[in-house]
Amino acid sequence: MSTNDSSAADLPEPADAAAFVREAETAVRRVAVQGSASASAWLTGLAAASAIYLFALGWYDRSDETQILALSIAFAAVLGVLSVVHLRRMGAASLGFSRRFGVAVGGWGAAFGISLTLGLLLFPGVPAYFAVAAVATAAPPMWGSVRELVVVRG
Amino acid sequence: MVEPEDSGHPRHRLDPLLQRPVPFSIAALLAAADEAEFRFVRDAVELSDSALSKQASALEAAGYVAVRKGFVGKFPRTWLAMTPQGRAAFAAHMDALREIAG
Repeated sequence: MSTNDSSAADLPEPADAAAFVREAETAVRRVAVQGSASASAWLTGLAAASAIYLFALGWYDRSDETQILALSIAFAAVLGVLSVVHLRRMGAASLGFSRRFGVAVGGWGAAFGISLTLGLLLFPGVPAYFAVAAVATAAPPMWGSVRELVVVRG
Repeated sequence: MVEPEDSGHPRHRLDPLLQRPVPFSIAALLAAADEAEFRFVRDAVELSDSALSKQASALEAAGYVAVRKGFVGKFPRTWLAMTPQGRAAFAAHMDALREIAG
């Protein structure tokens, strides 16, 4: 876009230019607070729900299918509610959020999938294994949550 | 050979569209975001829906903003995002403003 058609009357004075710069800095802060605070809450919820789910699974044997199914449905419902609330509240995604979110949720998905598969196949009814798995699975979203809070704090 | 816009007073690097306060405010928000929801921008810039639509269309026509429509559940949502061209223009405009501000 050409910049040669700016008339002298349109050109900002230093004080006006400084005000524009301040407005841009305020916008960065506003987007960070709005977008990252909500994302941080969602990631914390994901970490907590996953940890509780996996820890609870450790107390059931492979034959306790009804209890495991009920627990899984409750877990899915909690994630569903968290996601709907988050998506409705989130008005903006701060710069770089998509990448950070992808890393946190991708890490969670990998840890969750591996922990669940190993737990159900090799360590059913072993609370110690599932306690460790709960912590390992909660770690990626908690890291993502902290990263978003760092963005909010600036 | 150096272009006159690159060598002289920073006013030569000001973007005419972004010199207008409302497009600047919208661009400042979008430059800070991967993308932002229409209502968030509307409330932050304190515009009516129709005024924001008009300004967003002008930014879209300049190639600075991309508009994406989708749904959250049953509710329609419109998302605005700055294009790479828009980010470059905004960054250059901000550099010029900082130089003018001193």
